[in-house]
Amino acid sequence: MKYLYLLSLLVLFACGGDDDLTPATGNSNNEWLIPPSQVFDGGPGKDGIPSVDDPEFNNTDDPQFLIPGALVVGIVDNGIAKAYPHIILDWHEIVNDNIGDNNFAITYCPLTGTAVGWDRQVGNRTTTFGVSGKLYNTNLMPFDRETDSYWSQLRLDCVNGSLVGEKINTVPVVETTWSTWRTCYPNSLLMNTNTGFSRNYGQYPYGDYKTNNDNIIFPVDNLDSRLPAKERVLTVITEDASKVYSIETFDEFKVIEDQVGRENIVVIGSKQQNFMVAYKTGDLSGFQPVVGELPVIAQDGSGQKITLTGEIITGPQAGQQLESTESIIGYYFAMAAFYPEVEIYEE
Amino acid sequence: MRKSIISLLCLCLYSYQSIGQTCCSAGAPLSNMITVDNTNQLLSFTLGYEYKGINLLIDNNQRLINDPRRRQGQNASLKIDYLHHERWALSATIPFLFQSRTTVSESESSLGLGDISLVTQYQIFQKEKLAIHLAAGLELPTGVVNHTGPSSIFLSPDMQSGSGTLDVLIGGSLFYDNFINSALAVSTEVLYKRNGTNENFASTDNFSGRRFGFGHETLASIGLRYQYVHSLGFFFPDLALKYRNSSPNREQATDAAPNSGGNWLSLPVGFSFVPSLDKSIRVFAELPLIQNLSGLQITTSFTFGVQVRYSLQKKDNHQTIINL
Repeated sequence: MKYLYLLSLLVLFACGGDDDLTPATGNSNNEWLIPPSQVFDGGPGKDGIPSVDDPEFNNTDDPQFLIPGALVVGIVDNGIAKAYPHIILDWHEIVNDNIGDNNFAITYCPLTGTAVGWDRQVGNRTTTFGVSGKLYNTNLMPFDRETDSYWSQLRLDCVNGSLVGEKINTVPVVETTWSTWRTCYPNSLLMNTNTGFSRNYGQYPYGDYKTNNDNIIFPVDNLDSRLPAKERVLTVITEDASKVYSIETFDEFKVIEDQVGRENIVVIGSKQQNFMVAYKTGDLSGFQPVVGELPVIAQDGSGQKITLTGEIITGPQAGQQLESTESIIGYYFAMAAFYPEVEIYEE
Repeated sequence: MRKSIISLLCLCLYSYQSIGQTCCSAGAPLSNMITVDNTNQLLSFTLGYEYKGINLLIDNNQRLINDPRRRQGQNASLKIDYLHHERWALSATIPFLFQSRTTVSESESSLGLGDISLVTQYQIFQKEKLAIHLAAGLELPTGVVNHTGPSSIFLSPDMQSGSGTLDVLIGGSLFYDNFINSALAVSTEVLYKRNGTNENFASTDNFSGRRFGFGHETLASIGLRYQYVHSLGFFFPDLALKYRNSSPNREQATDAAPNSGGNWLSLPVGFSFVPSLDKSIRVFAELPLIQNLSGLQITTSFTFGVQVRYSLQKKDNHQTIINL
């Protein structure tokens, strides 16, 4: 048996070469902030799901590949609006991009339905993020290409590698339909399917995963059944608390003034127009919904109008911006896994 | 003697057969799963080597390009056949697997003992040109299932050498000699492999692990073999059409994991040289023809391999194929 094993080794290694790929050595740091036994190899390997590092955009009213009700992740910076369709993010999970000097990555995990904008400035370096192929609580773990460290998308920190313990700075993004986004930002650029990869962008790659509450592919820490697993929720995360708001709460266009931990916030949402956003109220109060005036979605007690991205556009504070909360839209089960003490908003 | 010839032909023809754990996995491929070998041999040993390139990225039935990863699986195996009775045979296959996954960012690999299979075969019919065999067996959870990558994270199930499950195999084969002309033979074979479910994959002292099971597999093939006689021995080129179906994998609470399972049609070809009844060598390859898969999968782009067999003859039989 020993000789057979040796023979096997010889034969296998003799033919073990791979042709046109010369990989880096990989991160061999074994210090983890999370239990490594609960980090799972998703199968494709590191960069096996390719991020898009050179996205192309169009400004078009009628993109052939996107229906009006399709979800996009939108960002506005210095008056420039960009939208990243879910149907592309489903296949690439990370888009490394910039608006001017603002370098960011749109990170999206199809298995938790979560889109988070990440600042690509890490320490004193500007990096790009890639898809590590590993999952924690069935959620995307990006890695940064500068230091090869692993990060957790929903913990918002580095969990392995030389930057372990570092927090990521997030960039505010809005998730809504292309129709709503386009109404709010008619000049918005839309990421197109010229990604450098041939993929079936119109086709969702995970079957009935979005709607099948039993279909959770990898283990999660805390399977909380207070809401259906795949219920789409907005989770507001503060230093000392977290709270989820279900999209079902916003059956009617609605504004909720609430408190999460010590933070006073306002949550504005509409199931019909498919958005939920949350901002810190600061010194404003008396919020009311504003219907039919997109991008305006609310006004405060003094009549100052506020847009989808939190900009005050009328009144004495016009031009100012409501401060963003740390808030993420995603499937309920994932938010409960990362934030086990999460409170559920009830009317 | 005719019986011996038929059995030998069966051996040569069926030896291309292999069944893998999944499309995207080198898994624990076991060549000669139900090789019929009931010539007058007491014991035979087959050393095999198989290489699989796993580089086709298929979305349902459409090939996608620009996949940033390369996969390969290699399998070295020892198969031992024991003729217990004229109609009964037992075989054991011991595989060693090497698998690698390479991207622009990382290369990961695993090497270890695979799942050992034990198969018993029974010849239910043999007359003149026709031979029919049934086979049943088990694949034991002997393979290594705790390979880890560079950051000490368990590699995915399809990168492990073993499955961690007890699997059941049943099959049957039919061989018909002198098909159309005396040098041509036809065969057909059906295999079903019911894979178990590992309830504790990647478990550790403080984590109970994850539920995972490869999809159940059905394999059917029909093949032709031509016989050429030379003073050096027998030469057998062969060609077949192989169909394979796999049900979806089972993961956590779902029994139909996305991006797993489907249908494959492939073209195995082979060439055997048999200088005498107690020795043979075979080279083979397999090319994919059609894939109709569930969702997005990376799957086998080509296979090739070689097998060398040596047999110990029964004491009461000193004849060789040359004498037949």
